[in-house]
Amino acid sequence: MRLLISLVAVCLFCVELDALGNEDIDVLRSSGNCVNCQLDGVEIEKEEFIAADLRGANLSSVNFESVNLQKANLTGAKLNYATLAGVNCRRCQLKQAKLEGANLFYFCGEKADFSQATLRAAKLAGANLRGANLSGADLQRAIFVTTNLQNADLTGANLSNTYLGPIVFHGNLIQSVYLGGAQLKFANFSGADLNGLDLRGMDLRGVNFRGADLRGADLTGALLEGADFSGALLSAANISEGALEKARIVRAGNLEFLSELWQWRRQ
Amino acid sequence: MASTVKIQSFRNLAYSKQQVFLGLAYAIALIAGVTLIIWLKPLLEANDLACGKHVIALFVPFGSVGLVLALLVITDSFSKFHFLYLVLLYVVLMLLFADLFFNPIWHYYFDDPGRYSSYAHFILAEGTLWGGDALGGMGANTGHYVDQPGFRYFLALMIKILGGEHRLMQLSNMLIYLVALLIFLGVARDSLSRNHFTWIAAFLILSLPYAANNILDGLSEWLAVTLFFFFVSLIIRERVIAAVVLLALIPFVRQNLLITSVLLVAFLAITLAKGKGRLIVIAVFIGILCLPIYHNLYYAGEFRLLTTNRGNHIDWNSFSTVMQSIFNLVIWKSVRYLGYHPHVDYLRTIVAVLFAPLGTGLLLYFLFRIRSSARYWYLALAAVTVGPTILFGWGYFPRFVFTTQVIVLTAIPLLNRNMKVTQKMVSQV
Repeated sequence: MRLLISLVAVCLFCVELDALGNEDIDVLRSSGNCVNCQLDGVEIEKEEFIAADLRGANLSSVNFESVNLQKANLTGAKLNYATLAGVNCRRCQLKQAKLEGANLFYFCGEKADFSQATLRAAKLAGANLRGANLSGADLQRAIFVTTNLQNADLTGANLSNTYLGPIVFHGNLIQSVYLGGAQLKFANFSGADLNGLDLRGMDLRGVNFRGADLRGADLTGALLEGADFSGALLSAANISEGALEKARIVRAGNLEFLSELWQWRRQ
Repeated sequence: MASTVKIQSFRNLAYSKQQVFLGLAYAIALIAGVTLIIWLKPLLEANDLACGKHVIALFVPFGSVGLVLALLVITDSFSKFHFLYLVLLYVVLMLLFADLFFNPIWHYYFDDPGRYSSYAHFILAEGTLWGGDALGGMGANTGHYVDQPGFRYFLALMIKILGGEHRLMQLSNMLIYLVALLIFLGVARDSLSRNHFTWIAAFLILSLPYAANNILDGLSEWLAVTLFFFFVSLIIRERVIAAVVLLALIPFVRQNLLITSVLLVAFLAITLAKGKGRLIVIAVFIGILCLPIYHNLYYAGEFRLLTTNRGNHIDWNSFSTVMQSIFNLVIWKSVRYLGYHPHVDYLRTIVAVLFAPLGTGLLLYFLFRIRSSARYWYLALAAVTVGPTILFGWGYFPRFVFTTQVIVLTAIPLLNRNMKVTQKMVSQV
């Protein structure tokens, strides 16, 4: 009997939570704002919440596929394990937001502020993070496949054990990034400022360093087969002649990786 | 009869009075356009989704140009000078969006425009000609073309030239379409009777809102139609090789027009004088038509011409299920050709009703009006253009109605030409 009562109580509690969630989404729809609200688990598609104020909101495990959140303020919001595939978050505020394990497949975060955000194990395949501020962001074990990080600020970001290939990194200033254990195979660093970067022992096969600034970078023991250093600045870079010889001027094709792209979405 | 009298009375006006009248029309279109754009532009500023109700301001330049163009057609006053004035009118109205030119646009990533966009950005970022269909979900683990091949390269080119995918790119695409349409009208005016020209021009003007919609959505049909406008204009202007190049590129953009372009090249080849001219035309056509084969062989190791992402409405279980499916489809899709679709909103319905019933009416009308020697070509062209979209096309109503109607109706000046003239021009190849 007790068990039955407990079960009924739990069910009622769940229904109550669900109702709360639904109310909050209605508040968001009607007012465009929902500070600190509980939207976890909500599933919507292709709706528009432009410049919505969602500071501190709990959006864990939501499914917001192709929702337009441009210029929304999500500072400190919890978005762990959220599905944000195809979401437009251009110029969003995501400072200190929690995005652990979030699905950011084809997420548009152009010029968004992710500073100090947690993106551990986030899936960023196909995402557009051009000009985004990722300074101090925790990106450990994140997956970047054909992610566009052109002109993004990665100062002090932690990219250890990330999967970074292929990726577009044009024009980045990523000097102080921690890349310990990151897989950079076939990444595209063309024109990037990698001055003094620690790339020791890393797998850099097929990486495009064309025109990159590698002055003072440490590439000791790195695997460089197929890497393209044409036009790169290598003065005082710690790199052996033998390793450079192995690197071809013409970069190898990177298409084999794209077949893996869709798998990241399914995870 | 009444319209004829009005046109006659317009023609009887002194030249200076005609100019004043048309000048007034331009001025009203300009003032109305400027007012509407200033009024509606704030909606556009707030949202960077490529197309939706908020982009209504971007329809205004086409609307203003369409109104003046309609007046020019009705009064039989369209000329190359008006071509320039209309383009100028469009450009002036376009400049009112200058502060939003470089606002980036955004597409739903999984829809056709989103996939084209992903492919185009990938092509530019990686400096490859590989289409990148593996990026698009439907093409996971594939190297060959899954989606329509050609549009992504055009898009990549536009992004490269204009520096991004933004409102300026949308307005520029609309300008390209407008120029192609005006060139076609200028050429067709000399190749059609006044009555036929007026009806076809009226249809094209009424389809301008949907053309704008198609462009703003980021779809590929408008590019195929633009290429077709240029193809017909070039053929009539006796630029055969250039025309055949464009004709062969049309299936590269929209593969559902493959049979249409093959039929038209057959029409050209059959009406050719004997000799190397015919061989050159066929060789050029086939060489370009095979672009997807070259791509798929190089990047996927597969000998494949057709893409694999095709809507399929047919139940292939047995002969009876196939016939039943085709019958149901024809019934179901017939109403689309009158501008009706049960699942679209009233705005889309208005845009479709503006041109689709007239287009269908004209398709039937010309079947009985075209000279007997060209009638069979016309019938075959209509069948092979409309047929594949009935069986396979879906989504984004009324894109297929628009494409098929525009292509069949704009082919009339070509089919209707004196065969001797055609022979003469092609023998010059």
